[in-house]
Amino acid sequence: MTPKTKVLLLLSAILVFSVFQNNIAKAGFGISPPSVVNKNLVPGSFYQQDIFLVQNNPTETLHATAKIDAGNINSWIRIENGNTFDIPKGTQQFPMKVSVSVPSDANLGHYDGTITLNTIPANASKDGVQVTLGAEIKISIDVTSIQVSDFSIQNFQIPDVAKASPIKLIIKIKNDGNIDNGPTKASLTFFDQYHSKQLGQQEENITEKAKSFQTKDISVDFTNNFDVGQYWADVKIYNGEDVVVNSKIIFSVLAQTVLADQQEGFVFPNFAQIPVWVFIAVAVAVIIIFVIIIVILVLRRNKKNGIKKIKIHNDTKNQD
Amino acid sequence: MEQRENPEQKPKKMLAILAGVLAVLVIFLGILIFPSWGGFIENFKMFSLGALDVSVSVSVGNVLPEASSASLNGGDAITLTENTTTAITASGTVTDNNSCKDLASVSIAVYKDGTTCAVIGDADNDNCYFYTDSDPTNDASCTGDDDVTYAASYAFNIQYYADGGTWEATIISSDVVGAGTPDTSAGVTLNDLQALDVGSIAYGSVNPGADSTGDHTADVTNTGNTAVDFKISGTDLTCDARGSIPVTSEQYDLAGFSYGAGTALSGTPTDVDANLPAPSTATVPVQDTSYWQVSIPNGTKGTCSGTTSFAVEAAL
Repeated sequence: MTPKTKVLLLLSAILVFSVFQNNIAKAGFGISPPSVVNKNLVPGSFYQQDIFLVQNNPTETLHATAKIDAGNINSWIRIENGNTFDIPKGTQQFPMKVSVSVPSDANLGHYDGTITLNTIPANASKDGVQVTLGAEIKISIDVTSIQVSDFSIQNFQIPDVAKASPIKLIIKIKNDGNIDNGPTKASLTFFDQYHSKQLGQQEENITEKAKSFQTKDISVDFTNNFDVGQYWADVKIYNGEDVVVNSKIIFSVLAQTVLADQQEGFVFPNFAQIPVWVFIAVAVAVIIIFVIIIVILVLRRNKKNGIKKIKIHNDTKNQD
Repeated sequence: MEQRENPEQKPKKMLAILAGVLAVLVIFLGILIFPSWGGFIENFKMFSLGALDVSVSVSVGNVLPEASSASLNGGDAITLTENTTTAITASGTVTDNNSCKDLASVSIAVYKDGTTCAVIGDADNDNCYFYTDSDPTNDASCTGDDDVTYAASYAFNIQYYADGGTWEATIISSDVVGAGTPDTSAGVTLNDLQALDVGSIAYGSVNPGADSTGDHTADVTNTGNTAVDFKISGTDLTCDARGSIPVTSEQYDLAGFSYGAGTALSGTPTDVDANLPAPSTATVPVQDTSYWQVSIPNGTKGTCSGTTSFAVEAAL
């Protein structure tokens, strides 16, 4: 390749880059999820949903203005952040909370509406045309008289626990129905760390429920008779007689001090994990220091004895 | 005749006793902390006593690993961020009763329900993300031969255009003998994202009583995961020296035009049927170009400023 060709290629590359640069968008804005949808509301229901206002590059604080246009259900809809609010600089995902309160005398049926959202930078340019971004959020709700029971277990966990403290099974419930709902019972079958030896079984009724359309963590306590160590629990979560979760999870029972240290962000060292050579080095160092101290003590004692001997000798001389 | 101990030998003797006691102490502590030392000493003792006349051999079989407690984003719905990636963590536990040091590989697949996502070759930023730890024995969670668990966890950078719907995570593991039992998380919703990026609009310098000429464009890019349209509205442009330009004096279109042939801008948001489909890659942007012209009335002077708003909405 001749030097001339190389220069031409370089110039072409720069030119292509410039063209793309011109096409790069300057500002971005989005909504997720893009709608407020609920098909299972009943008269008297309350429903709340987060609409995240998202930006890839939130370099400026944005003033947001929301306008609800939902006809005769306008009064049902409320934006918990207020109809004007700020999206702080640096926030890529900002939650706008939209709530729907259905009056107890509401007519059954389908209702539509929109929320129009506009944003403008707090320090908007006063020089030329300022492009601002916004979104139109659809509202689509149904008011029904039918009771809908619909919940799911999104996750469950057993956090590490201090010895003698209750074992907590934390269940994340997503209630998509229009009645308070949740699992009725949970059972844990405990095993050793190899899941080979069964150590016991416990069952607990669950009375706490998630409200309609709510996602909630509930905690169920189980008695902890275990020594420090790692254990398995076979987890069964029931809705009535139906098993809705059948899985297993590992957890640790820790000494009180270890757990406290972990909670404070400091982990007490596990001596068994320290390499052997470190231990030997420390032991050798301790022995050397110990020997030096002994030698010093012995030398001092000998010196003292020597002085004593001389003194005794002198005393004998004087007597003579 | 009474034999007296030489006083000069006394400290040496004392020193020897102390060193002996210390050595025993060190070995005792060593056995407490490292039980394997005890085994070594036991073997040594048996050897020295000539007690090796009974041989016991046990063949320990292989147990395949098993995954459990798979979880995606802690069970919460996933919200993406326009025009960039969002870190989403998938986690779980892998156990191998031979030891976590026996594991050959651990993979985590995060995918849209119904998608085949079983090997790295299936990976697709739209619907399948795949990670493999091919050296799980050196992971911090695998602490030694007597540790049978491996904590699988990985933060995936999910692209803004990943498909909305129900997503799951599956933990897949194997040891030197074969594949273990996988575990799949509960499904979580990956929310739809409607988003736009819009360039700037510049008319340049136009005299009073004249119309702008040439192309004045602003690219509109779909930076979400669904097909979108948008609405346009605006305000009057107020000039810093004198007068203002009515909002209706600005016109737009999705193709090049001369002033008079476009759609007049208004204060009411108006649908623009651009129908930008959902992107499927970051390298080929889905975008349309909006074209703009303005007519400058007499009685105006200076730099004129106002706003033009683009509101994203679901494709019509």
